[in-house]
Amino acid sequence: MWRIRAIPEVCIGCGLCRVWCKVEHSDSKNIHKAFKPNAPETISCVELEESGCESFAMQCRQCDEPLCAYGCITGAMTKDPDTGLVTVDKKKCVGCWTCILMCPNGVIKRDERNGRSAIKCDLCKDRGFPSCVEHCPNDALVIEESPMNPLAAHSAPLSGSSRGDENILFSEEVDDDE
Amino acid sequence: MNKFDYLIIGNSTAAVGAIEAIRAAGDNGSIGVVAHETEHTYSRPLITYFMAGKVAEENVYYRPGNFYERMGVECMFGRQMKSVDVEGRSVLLEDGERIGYGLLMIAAGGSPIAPPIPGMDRPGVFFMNTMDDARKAKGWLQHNKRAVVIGGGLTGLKTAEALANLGQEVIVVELAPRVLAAAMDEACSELVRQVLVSKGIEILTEVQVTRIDGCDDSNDVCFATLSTGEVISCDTVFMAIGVRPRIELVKDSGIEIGRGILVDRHMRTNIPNVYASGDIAEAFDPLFGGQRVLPILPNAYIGGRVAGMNMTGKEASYNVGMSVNSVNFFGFPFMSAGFATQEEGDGFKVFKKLDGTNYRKIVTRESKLVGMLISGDVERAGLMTGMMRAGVSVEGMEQDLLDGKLGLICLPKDVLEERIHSSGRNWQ
Repeated sequence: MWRIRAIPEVCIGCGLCRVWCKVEHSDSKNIHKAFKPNAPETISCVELEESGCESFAMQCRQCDEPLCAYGCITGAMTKDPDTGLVTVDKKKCVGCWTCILMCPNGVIKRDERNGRSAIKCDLCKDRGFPSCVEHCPNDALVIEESPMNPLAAHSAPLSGSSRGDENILFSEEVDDDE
Repeated sequence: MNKFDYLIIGNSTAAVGAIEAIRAAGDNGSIGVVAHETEHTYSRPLITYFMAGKVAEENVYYRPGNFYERMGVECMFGRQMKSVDVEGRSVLLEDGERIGYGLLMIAAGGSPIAPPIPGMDRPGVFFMNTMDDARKAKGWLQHNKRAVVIGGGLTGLKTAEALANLGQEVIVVELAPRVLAAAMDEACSELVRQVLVSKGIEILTEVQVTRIDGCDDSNDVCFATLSTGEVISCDTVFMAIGVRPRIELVKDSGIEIGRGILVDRHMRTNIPNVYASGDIAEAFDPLFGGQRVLPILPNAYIGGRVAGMNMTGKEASYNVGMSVNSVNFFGFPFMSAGFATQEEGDGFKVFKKLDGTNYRKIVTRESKLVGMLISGDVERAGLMTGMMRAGVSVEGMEQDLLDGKLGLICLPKDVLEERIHSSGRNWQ
């Protein structure tokens, strides 16, 4: 499965990731039209974090244990067992924003353009490749390919291990003292 | 005797969490689900939306229609558990059938509190706890127009919102001095009150309904008498005082109970092969520092998932079970987490900022963030629950938190590294 990862050391804080994310999530998907004064509002699913001269971009990490999906009251937010992508079913979402409260990275947005629905990074699945990554001028956003977490996917366990494999769900230490 | 490797009592969020965890672990053991309701698993918070016609019936369901088939689950719906025999590893149903299990998870939820009000049994009195309740009420409301909602908690107020959306006249009757007293402080519950009142909902506080009467020619609800002596005319009454864990199901079974079924951080009861989660469980709350009953949906799913993983032998621990609530009334959002109602003192520091209808409050203890309350601008609120779970010090950042100015970049280096690199599996 794919994840987008930031490399803060080389991020120059230009914000092009946000620009291209907005283009991708606009009606026209055209950079000339998306930012016209009378163009419909569009949303960036990328946050640009800045402090002093440090910066990095952050979008959904498609968590193995997605708290947003676990907290979703309607079943609209789910993790695709095949692709690992965490997606919102706009038809089911009622805009309660529990996902926004659950996401520790603060990367789920409100989309109130047409009804109320959560919106988040979809890895530009219709486009084929994430636009923010493609347009980052300094390679400060990269695609990370990681094996599916066997516990997140409904498939047989994989032998490959990614960082954090030794920790299983929410805590490595178990001290039951109650 | 029919026997399952995994027997689950209950068919709501916690049960789904457990089923998905068991199958995700690659375990093909047999799973049986016993539930007293006959519905496919549905989202309980959506029943008021369904009643108001805001959500179509097919979207109330929490999982796709082929869920049980895909997960290989045998459904025993419309059947009630009567007792558990933990020695013999079996469950007796009300209809007399006995079902054996290898591992048992009790996720039977809560039942609505029914106060002993004379007239409770009249036609026109409803609970708002199940899809069946919502269906019955929906039909009734078609030829009625003035409703009293008993209880100004989350369920009561979402019911009131739904009723107002249906064009009903609505009166909320709350015993406490303010609405949502359990989840919000005074300033925030006042903002909620203003939103509701602006939509024509009448709210009465510090008052109770003492009896419900019919009219001369009908048994149906006609009047509600208040503790003040006032009599209000109405044709519908909703009971939304709260739910209590259905612990009577395990009475005398040897399974340890407090206010709910007591579970450890593996969601295991005192009986090694019996687990519990969801609204029926009394589980660990890391902020509270002990076990408590916390009937909220996110914790039901996560608790169910933790139970499911442990049942398959994959060790998992429940350490994120704090209180979180996100709700909106007529589109105006409110969020709370942790010690949201706490005021200054007892080792807690409290910071507040009110700007029109935008309210923000944060609560710290030993410089760590342990509570928050937000209305209006809820953008990136999860950063704060993330900080609460991670237990990072927020000393000196309080004003930025109130101003909503903080980002991940303000987190300590090691936590930030983890956020950027991790696969999102360990949320403590």
